[in-house]
Amino acid sequence: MKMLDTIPIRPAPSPAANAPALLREIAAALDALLLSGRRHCIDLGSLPLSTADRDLLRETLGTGEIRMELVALGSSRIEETGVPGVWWVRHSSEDGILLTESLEICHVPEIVPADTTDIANGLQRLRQALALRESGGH
Amino acid sequence: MDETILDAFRQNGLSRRAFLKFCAATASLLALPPAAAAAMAEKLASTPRPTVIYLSYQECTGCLESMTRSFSPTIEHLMFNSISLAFNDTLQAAAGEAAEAARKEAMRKAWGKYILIVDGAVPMGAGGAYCVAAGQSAVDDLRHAAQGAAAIIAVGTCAAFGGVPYAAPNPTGAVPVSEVIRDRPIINVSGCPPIPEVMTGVVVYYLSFGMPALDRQGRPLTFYGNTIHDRCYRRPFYDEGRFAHTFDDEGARNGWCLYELGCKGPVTYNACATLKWNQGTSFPIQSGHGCLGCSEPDFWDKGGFYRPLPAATGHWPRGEVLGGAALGGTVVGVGAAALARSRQQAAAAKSAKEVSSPSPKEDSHEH
Repeated sequence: MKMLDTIPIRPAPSPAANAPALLREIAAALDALLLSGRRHCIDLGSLPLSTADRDLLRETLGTGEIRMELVALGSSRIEETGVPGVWWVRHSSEDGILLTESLEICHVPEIVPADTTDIANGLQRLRQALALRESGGH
Repeated sequence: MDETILDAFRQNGLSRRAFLKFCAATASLLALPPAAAAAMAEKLASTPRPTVIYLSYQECTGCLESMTRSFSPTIEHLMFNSISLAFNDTLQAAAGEAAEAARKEAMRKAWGKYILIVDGAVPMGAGGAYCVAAGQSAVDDLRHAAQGAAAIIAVGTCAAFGGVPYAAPNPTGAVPVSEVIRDRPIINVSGCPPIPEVMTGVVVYYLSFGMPALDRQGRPLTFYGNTIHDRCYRRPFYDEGRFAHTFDDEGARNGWCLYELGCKGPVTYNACATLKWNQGTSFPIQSGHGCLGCSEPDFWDKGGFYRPLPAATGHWPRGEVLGGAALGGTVVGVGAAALARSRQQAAAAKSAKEVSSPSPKEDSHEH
């Protein structure tokens, strides 16, 4: 790495062409979230983003307080960025291939809260387990 | 109430979260706006689980292989576990009369509502005798099954355009599905075979939003809206006039454009260059071979796979192109690219003409 430093190069201006526009879109979406509670989602997979674009996004949004791992049909990472209400969501398949990557602007991504039917199904299983215990099973 | 697709997910031990993830991934695959994922989730959660009948005629089972041999089975498997694949003679355990009975029962129950997937061309020659199963010819079978179908998805180039069975001299009088059935919506998912994600995506799209926008060949624009050439990562070499002339020359080693080696990318509409194959690993051009044009009608009969497009169109002398490309250089390269582009337009105009005028081969079909 020392050797590289001796090469007299001046880094070209950042080729981050699309990140600034994205950041403005995020700001507008946060405005809308505050005013009307409307959620917004940006599919990063469908946008031409250079490495510099991604770096700029990461750098500007920063790292937040919450990092979740969802294990359903493979692993998903749901991270709040340093800007509260902006979530970086990456869904991967069971063999680790990235399926989709998006930025969600909302209080909590819709995929996080437990669903009513899932809760009811879970409760049923819990009651069955309790009944089994009481009847002398284990 | 009928069982919904979400119910089917739950029965497979999957949560609503898995379902939402499936919708997000599919919307992304279909290049739909992210809001469509929510709309898709809402629709699929309330849509009765559809019945899918998969019929195979003159085909090699390559399309089914493409769909089921995917290394990442998540989405494809979910499709067929969660969406009711009621009949497929290759995949199902039942055989003989039991299989036929199961199929009749599934069709009767969902009459007028099922999705009919057809794989393979339909031979019309000798009264349909070239393809007979359970005493019924393919053409009679298709006519009957189509009557109860909400929509037909013609999977693979054989079902969509006739494919290899349709190729000259077409000894069995094979025709595509669209020549047998004219009163049902038909979605052509061409390719030899089609990309598995495309087959899955089309079914999910249909269930969520109804008929997709189709091109003039009846193919969904989402996947067939661009040519391979338009989305090819080697396109910059074409624009610079840098071509491989043999499979072992400097150009081939440098990964230059395969246009002069007969690549049919400029006249082929498919998603190979973006979705790629085997979980996004590669596609023919990335592996050093030109596109064969397998998702286009008559790809088998368009002259040699290795004959460059301009020679086939006959509009431009081949020497001009080779001269320009061989000289290389930026200035000449730009000229060659302009020349190549105008040839491409001529080729596109010609193929458009071919589509609008019936090919002479159709005369040999028995109706």
